[in-house]
Amino acid sequence: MLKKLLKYDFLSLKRFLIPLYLLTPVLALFAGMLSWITNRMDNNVVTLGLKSIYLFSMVALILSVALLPVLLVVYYYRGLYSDTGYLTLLLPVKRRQLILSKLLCAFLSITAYLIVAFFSFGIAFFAGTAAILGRNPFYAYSLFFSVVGDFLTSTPLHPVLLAIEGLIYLLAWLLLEFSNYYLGVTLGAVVFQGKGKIWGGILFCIVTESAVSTVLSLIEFAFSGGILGIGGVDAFDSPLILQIFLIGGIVLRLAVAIGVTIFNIRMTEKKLNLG
Amino acid sequence: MSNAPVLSVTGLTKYYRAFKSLDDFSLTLPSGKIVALLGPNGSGKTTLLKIIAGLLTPNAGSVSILGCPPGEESRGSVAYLPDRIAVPGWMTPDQATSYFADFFPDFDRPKAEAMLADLGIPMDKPLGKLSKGMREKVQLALVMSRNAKLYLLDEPISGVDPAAREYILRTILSCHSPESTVLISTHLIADVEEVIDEFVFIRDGRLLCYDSAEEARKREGKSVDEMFREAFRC
Repeated sequence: MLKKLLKYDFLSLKRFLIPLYLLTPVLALFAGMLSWITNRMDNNVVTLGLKSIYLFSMVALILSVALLPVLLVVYYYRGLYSDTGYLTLLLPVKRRQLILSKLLCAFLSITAYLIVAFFSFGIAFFAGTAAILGRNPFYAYSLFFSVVGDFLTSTPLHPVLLAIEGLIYLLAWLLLEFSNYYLGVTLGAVVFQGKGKIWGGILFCIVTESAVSTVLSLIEFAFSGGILGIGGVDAFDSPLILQIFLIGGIVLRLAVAIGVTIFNIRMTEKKLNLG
Repeated sequence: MSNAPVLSVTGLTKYYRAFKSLDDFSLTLPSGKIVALLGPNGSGKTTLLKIIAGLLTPNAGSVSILGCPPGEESRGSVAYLPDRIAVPGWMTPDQATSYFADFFPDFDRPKAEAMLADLGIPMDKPLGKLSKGMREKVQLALVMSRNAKLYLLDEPISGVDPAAREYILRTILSCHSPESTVLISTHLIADVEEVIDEFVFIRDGRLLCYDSAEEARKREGKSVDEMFREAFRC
């Protein structure tokens, strides 16, 4: 059943995902080209105009990246707690399958989008530097990857290990974020009735996210304090300490995401109010 | 015809903040009946249907559908037609038919396609681009194409034209079997008068009367419509 639910979730999201997957690289290419042209021109008036357009296109690019998480949370709300809920919540499937399908769908969509965004940022941010160096716009990618490479070699950990663990950390963080948002939407629907569910959902998204992030930060802060107290600042040059930080962060986020999702499922099963 | 209860609700109470929508409501329905759920606006009809369907949690009381509480198992045997359009606007009637066929093992796809053809619904046009009446017809055709044990129909004929109304009532009759019960909430009592076996009057969330339509007509010498007008006169 989960496979079927995923099929229809993706079929529904396809309408938003495909345009967004295209919009971000197009905006990035546009911004990158503008930056490249601006840096090769001498005319101050034209340059000022192009720089203004570049600024707007960069803002649009960043907004396009922020749009997908918002769309996915709205999709979750609409799929379960608006009129469509009168169909989905009546399917002869377990409520946990409904929630897991939406969570998995969000996770996979955003993971795919990260790849698109990663390559988009390469040209948007570094095409200007490529122009200054007298190279073609796509030299931006060489510069971008060398910056990424410098970052990966800046710690005592092996760069490949750091890249893999960093990626897993990012994915665990994303999973936790969506688990928090989805619990917030459910709490809004449980506590509030009618149109109030939308505002309740937004309120609880903020509350849930803030509460979970604060608790996690306090745990990590306390752990850092402990390390500093025992080993001093030099302790952070140790690959082992960094590994513990990274893997501990991943495990903590995954555990909290699972806990939050189980609570979300319980609330949907026991306290549902589709008023 | 089996008389084992298909639905049993006991002491249902539901509050919307301070407003009591259902007040200690109890009802038991046998299988094989078409039952009209009748009451004025705000009497608790939709709330009752939503609780039976498992879309609302009551503050007190219990629901049993073929011996099970509302849940995954009961959803497989209950076909609910809500008072709003639930099928998403991006789906075409063809995709919506596939959706029902994928999830409901009791869904009769050829029957749904025949009904949609009879109602003149274009299969390849997204529902969002169809008129409200057409979307309601699609939804009704999908729900009535299930071979469910309990049909919960919330105002199924209020938004459609008189010609389609007749077709829908005929469809409800044709779907009705000794194993299935239809609980239909409506204001258009005169339209359903001829098809119902029993009726329930509900006022302020309380059960006012549950009777056999034929026996009540004989006893009172009035139609159910007339009895309703008398009971709920403003």
